Amino acid sequence: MEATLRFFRHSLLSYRALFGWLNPKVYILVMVLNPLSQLLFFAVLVNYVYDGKGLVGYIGANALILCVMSSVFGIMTIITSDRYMGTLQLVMASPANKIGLFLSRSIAHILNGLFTSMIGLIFGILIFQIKIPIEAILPLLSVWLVSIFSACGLGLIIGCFCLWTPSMNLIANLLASSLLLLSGANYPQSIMPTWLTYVADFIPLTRGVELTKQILNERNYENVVPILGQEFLLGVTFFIISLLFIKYAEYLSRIKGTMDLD
Amino acid sequence: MMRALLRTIRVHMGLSMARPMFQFIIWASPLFLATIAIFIYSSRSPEDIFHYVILGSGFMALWSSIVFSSASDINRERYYGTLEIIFVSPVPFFIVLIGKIIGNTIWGFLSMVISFIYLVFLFGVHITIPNPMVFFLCTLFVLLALTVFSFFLSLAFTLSRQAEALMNFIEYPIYLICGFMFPVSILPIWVQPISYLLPPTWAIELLRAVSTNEFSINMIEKSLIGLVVVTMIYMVLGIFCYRAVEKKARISGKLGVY
Amino acid sequence: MNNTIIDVSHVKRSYKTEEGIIKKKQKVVEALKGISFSVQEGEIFGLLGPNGAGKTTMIKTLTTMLTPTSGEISVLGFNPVTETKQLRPHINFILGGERNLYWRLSAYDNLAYFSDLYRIPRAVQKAKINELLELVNLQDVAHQRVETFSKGMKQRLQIARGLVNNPKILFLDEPSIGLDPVSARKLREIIRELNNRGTTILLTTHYMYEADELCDRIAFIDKGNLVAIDTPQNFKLKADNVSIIAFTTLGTSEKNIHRLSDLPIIHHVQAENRGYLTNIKLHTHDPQTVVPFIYETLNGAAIQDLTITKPSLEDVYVELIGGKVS
Repeated sequence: MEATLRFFRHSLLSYRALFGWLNPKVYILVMVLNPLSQLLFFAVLVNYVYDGKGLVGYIGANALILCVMSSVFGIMTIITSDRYMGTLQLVMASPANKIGLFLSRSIAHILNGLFTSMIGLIFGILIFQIKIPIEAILPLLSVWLVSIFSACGLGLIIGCFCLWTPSMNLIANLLASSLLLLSGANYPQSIMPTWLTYVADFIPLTRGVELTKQILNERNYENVVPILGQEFLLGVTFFIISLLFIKYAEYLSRIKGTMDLD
Repeated sequence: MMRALLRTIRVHMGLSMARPMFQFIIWASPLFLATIAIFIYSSRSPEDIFHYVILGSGFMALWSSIVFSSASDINRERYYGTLEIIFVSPVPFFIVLIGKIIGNTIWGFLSMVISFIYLVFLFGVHITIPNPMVFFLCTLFVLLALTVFSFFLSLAFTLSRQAEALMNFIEYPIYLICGFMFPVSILPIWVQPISYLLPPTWAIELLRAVSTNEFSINMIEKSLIGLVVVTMIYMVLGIFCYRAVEKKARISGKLGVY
Repeated sequence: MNNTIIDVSHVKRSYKTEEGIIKKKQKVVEALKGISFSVQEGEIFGLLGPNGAGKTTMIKTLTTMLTPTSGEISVLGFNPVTETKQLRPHINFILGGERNLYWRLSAYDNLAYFSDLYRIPRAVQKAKINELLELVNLQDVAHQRVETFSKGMKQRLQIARGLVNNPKILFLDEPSIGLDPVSARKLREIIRELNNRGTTILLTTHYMYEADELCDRIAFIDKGNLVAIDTPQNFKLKADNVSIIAFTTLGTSEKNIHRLSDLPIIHHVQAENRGYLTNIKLHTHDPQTVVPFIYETLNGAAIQDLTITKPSLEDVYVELIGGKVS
């Protein structure tokens, strides 16, 4: 009980301590209005080009993609901000379990991502007057939760890069753009060149976008379990890699002395 | 005067490119958007692809680099505390400002050309421009018009902090309202007047009209006149803003702080 | 009381740095070149030395943040290299400067956060945090964000942060850096208070006055070597038969100053140019012989404000670390 409470308090306090966009005005601008305008742009665009075909699926997929605000830009702050504030070295030298620590820090951003995506979907439903069957809601939520978890895993790997490079903004923007491109949120996957689809297979959200389209356009729930399983595995792999990166950074700093966590 | 302008352009182009985010805006971002657009438009006619993918992603690149960064450049100078120094230097402030904007416009134009080359070579997009000379002249005029608009915007941002904050998040709304990747006519009726208050809308329509297969001079008449009129309006507004900024700096001495 | 709590023997630490991108050249920098000392329970132990002497490296190796290249360390009977799990809950450290806190959180939340990191049970936390805030005199601003704090307040909050786990040993790396005199004094009071409550303290500083006032024992480190270790009183006593001659002169040549340092009974010469004037400080056992010699050597040059005084700890420091001429 004590440990669980600690886990969630850590999640909450880290989120407040490290995430810079929590001022209400900035939050609404960056985490709500900006994503919504992106959704609106792509929805209007695909609605025009595809003449309304598959619109519900595309709106859903674009709403899911909005989670990058948290799963790329948000989650990387749990390392970048911590280092910037000079607290990373204190945290690393504390007796706390580092794996639990970074997982608990990630949770807030996974939930925040889910929140942004849901707002996006509701906004899309209201603007485009589309309907979503009630029975689709639960599968959709689980698909999104797992996909966003997986995207956060990759985001955390990218966050680790701040220990090696100063150009974090650049890398984060590249990742966010790549996710938008490769996940196929605005076109059928089949349109992409084959080699790109291979890349897309190893990227989070690709499967989530595909399932979102299947659920919303075809009412097809068959693939949810197997494909979501893959997405989950991908996410777990990403988290393991990011934790290995953190361990490696600690090794470089403590044993090799070639890295300054400060 | 001319030498100061040229030097500002050169120095500023170097400064801008030194920032990783600007590099992203110039080299990477347009290519991502161009790729997404060409995937979306893949089954459409070459003319549609030229109008909405090539011109569309080119305009996104141009818009981002000139307006987006000219605006934040002023703010950066303010942050470094160099804005007041520039203001009291013997070279008039507007020369420095125009130098910055021209510098960004050159980068933006290069970026537009890059996404153009990228689409033509990587995706084999065919382009036929019926009247290259007119197209070229129109492009020049479009660049001039956007420079004027950018001049107005960066001064407006110097005056208001809220506007500046907003600027960072106005990319997609502008792509949307100005119809960079689709005709403005598909937008709701009440949005369209706003679209036509903004020069980029007229500018991209002009370039689309001039690159249509059955091109004739009276097809571009409407968008050309529209662009001239809004550009004049923004020029007047720009001059007003310039006076206001000057007054704020000299009389109330409030340029350095908000 | 005589209970060794930190034992350091022959500790070396070197860093490999790579230079050049294409032609990689490895360069080995030795930050610690074989240091040995021990700290007793209940002591305030000071590590003194100029910038780059290896003070921070030493603190980092003691607090598990860095491993030594060779040598043995024991802190509270644990090896900080291998037994981090056992050791970390019992120590804590404070780094100087304003960072190392979460500025967006309140003082209270900062302490709660670090208490969680140190697995302090919640039932204990509440009382403990309030007690710490009171100790560092921040109880009135407990729920204000740290970004609104002054430098001194942040530094004091750092102290409180370093105490959340009731450490048996507290390490402080330049705790008073950049503080105004009043805040620095307050900080010293807190450190002494902590020590009275039984916390062993190891601190680094390059403020001589601070070390003199606080420390039970001092180790001088220079260029990765331990130069001397003793109580401040003994240091001063050792230097007791040394006199410091200070004066200001006008129009002396560099050559003449060097001639001063050639005299064997002068151990140390410090010269500082101030425009036309040169401030000179000499260390000697025999001021009676030296003073006439000064007049003779600097023949004709004006000599003002000549004083002969007892050495301060700073003079000891200069004599130990400064070499013959500085």
